Amino acid sequence: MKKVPPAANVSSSPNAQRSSGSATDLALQPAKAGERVPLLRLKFFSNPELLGVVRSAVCALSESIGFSAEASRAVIRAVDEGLANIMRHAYNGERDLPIHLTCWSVASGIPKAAKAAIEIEITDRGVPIPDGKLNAPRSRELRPGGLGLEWMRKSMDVVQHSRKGKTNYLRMTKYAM
Amino acid sequence: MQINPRRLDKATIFDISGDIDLANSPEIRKTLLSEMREKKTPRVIVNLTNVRYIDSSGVASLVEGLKTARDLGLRFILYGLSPGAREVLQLSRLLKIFEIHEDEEHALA
Repeated sequence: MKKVPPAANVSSSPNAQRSSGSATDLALQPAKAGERVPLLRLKFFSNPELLGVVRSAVCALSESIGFSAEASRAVIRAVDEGLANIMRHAYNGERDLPIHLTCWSVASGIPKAAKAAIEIEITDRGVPIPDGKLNAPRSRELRPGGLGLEWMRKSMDVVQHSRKGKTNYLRMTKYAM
Repeated sequence: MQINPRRLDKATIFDISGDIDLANSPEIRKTLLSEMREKKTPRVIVNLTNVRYIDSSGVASLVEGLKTARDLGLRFILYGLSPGAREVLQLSRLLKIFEIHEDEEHALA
């Protein structure tokens, strides 16, 4: 009999234990100068029904380390679009393939004016993004599609795609100014 | 997410509640397009008052709704945009493409 995987596996680092345990009243301290503090690691499956769960977790986290509501919306927009691209393209709609998401609070190598920064890495084991797709300019014609990558770039300060072995990496950083 | 059409004399209002994302945007698209093609009500109004989040597939569904409305000679109107919904239309340079009103009264005026 096929073993049914759990819907999601959530773990947080010891640094995240400062929270009260409720997603709605997290009170994490942003990383101190020079630090890169791991905050959250989510392991879940490529099921679009889980996107809302991930958005809620990342939103609570970013607000808790000093991001405004508007900046937090930008962070979850980029995360959601990155995950949707993986589900639709890298995994071609398969709903039971693994995705890992890790968040750090970062205070190393960020602009002086930044109060805090969040770095997010998302990995999958799907097909690579085709050459040329990342740099293709979006058509100005009114048509559905092609918005996700543009939103990610406009919403975050750093967006990097790479592939090592059979793993796709999406790394994104946003500064709280 | 829920989408419910309300049929008035010369308008159909789609009340949507919940987040619009990859999990449910195909349902939004299907409901909007089939109702428009079937009923051809002169004014098609989408109530986004209870929608906190719209992803790019949701915006793509609204764009398809707008294009279909134009093809059928109908007006396609949005109202009740949350800050997040307004931001994504701004990011996509679509704020001036859609007819947008603050509330239902203005959308029906």
